[in-house]
Amino acid sequence: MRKWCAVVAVLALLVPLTALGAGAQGATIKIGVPVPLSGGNAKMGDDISKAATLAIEEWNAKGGVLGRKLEIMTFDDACDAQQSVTAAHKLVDAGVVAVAGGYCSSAAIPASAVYHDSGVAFVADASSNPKLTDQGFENVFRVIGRDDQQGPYAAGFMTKTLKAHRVAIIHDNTVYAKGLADATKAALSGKPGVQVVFFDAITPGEKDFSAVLTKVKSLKPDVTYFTGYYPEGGLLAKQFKDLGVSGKFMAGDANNDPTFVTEAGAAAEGDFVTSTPLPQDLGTAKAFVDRYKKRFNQDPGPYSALEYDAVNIVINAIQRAHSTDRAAIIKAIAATKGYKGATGSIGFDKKGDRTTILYIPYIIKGGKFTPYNVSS
Amino acid sequence: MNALGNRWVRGALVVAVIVVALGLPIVGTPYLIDVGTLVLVYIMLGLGLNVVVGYAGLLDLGYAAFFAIGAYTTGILMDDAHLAFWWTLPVAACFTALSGVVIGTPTLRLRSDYLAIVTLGFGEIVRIAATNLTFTGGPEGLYGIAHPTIGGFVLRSPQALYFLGLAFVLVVLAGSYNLARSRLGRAWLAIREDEAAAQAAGIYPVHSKLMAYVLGAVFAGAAGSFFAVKLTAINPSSFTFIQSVTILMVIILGGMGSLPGVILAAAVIVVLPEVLRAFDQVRMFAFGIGLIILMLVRPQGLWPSRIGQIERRAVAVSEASAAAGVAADAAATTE
Repeated sequence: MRKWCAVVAVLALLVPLTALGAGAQGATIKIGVPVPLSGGNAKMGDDISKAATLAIEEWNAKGGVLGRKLEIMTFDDACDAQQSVTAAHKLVDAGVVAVAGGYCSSAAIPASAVYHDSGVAFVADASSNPKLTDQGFENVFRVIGRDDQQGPYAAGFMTKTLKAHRVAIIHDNTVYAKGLADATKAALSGKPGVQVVFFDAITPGEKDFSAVLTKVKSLKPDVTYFTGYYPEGGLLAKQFKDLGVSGKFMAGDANNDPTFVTEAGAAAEGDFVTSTPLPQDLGTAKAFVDRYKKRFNQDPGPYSALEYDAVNIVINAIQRAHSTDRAAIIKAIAATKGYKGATGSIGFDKKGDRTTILYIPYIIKGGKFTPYNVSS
Repeated sequence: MNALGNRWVRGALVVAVIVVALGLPIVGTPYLIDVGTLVLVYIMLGLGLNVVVGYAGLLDLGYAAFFAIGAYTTGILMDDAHLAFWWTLPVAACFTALSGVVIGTPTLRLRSDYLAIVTLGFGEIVRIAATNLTFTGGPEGLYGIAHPTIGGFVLRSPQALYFLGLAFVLVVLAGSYNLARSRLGRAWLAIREDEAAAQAAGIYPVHSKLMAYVLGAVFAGAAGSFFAVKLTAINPSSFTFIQSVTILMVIILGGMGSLPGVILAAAVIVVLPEVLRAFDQVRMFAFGIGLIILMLVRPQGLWPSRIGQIERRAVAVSEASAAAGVAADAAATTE
């Protein structure tokens, strides 16, 4: 009985090996897609790999690229540093010409070192941590914005669209919120006639912010920008209106959560939140959203459009480079300019960050996050 | 199987392990070598935890904490102080030894379940502290940790890192082997079997237990230092409770207190999920089933310790089936 168990176990292990052998085809061009397929972020990984599948299916329907069919290789990185490095080695070994994917920054950053050492292009779709491109690897790009790009974006929105002259900034001393607050302050200090009248932190977990807001009120700001997270954001928005502080209330992307509105209630009406747009809220992504729904019978995830663009940029680069040589592809991706993707125009700066900043303002209307049309 | 046949099988396995260990970096692809290097990390961790759990019989569910302390010490010293990798090793050893004393002292009065809970708490404290402190890089962790160098040669390639890992493993292995046969090792064995009797025989349990924690911690610290320079980036998500359970799984699967068992089991724990990659989304599920089958087929472990076998034949079956339950639960929570 035991022997049989052992035999069955060994056979069960051999099945995937043969499957791997059958999957290898010489002529296809392989693009690696490392995503979390196990653990808490598996849903995101699934959304991302579906978008990549859609992208290559569309190219293959048109005959592929350079006369060859395309294939994606999806490997589970479990959003884990150690597993992502192993998956990266596996992708490189499998002969991928470039990699487009990743989700967690904590997995993408260690894996990027492996891609760098093997000279493979890595176009990250969802890792917004500044550290990823700050490493100075010439092979690393990203189609999503950086966490520290939101500050300058928010500053521009306040001064240009909301015509603010006096700005109050409230953060909560966490790494992310402090970073966003610092970046916003730095961007504002360069603008003529704009003054940061208040810059201080609240304590996460507190419920009563009247002391801070009374101080803010006395300074008569045009815009008050909160860079922390939604549990405090919703309460701040409510107490902001209750105390009758002047100007608009605005919050960072960690407040793009329904809880913000539930907590603030009617007081949230007309508040602004700067955030990365969902595919559904992007005019340029409409065709993509339709095709995605038709193919998979479900809505795309928050990062699907970005992954779709990342894969397309790689294929586009292969076409322009007229080669599947890894180094040639890196060069071609770096030269990408004004690519019309589902998430808008895409080009890369020296670090590999996206030049066009991908943030939009949301306004709260009728208790819902509604994209705010800047031109109106 | 008779004793002679058993010896042949064991001999053949040892030869096979040596051939694979030395042949891998020569013929393997970078991916296979990377998997091999990860096996080496788990061998180090398994050998370290084996001192605490296997030899001294102290159940530790927060072992990843020492792993984290080693990794962060090396990472911070190399990133911020620009110290050479080799100089960070003694510092990491000191810090982990100190943390071994810190966790060891208050837990000396505790046994079994209670001890497990305290160590579990310690593991979580270290991980949460690393997530919230500024100098550890918060949830983003540390990145851009330099590769170690020998003279002017940078250990950057998968092969070079593999050999570095192999050197670490050989040192830890030699240490473990000698510890088991030392006076201290015998003392641990005696305490594990019957603490009161051991004390009556003149063994001072406080000292012995503390030494088990300290030495186990130092082994994990060394593994952590190596892990930091191998990945070049570390963050708190590598040091979760699941990591502690995985290391515990290595020694249970291998056979408590058995050095060859640790090596075999580390290979299984790392290689099995890789072999199962073709299963995609159900990979970890298949991994769990694989582990359950292994424990059912070999309840005493893949390569049980000979000392343990003789003394504990009677209780082996019941204990091992309990261990199988732990491993199965752990595999289920990994998903």
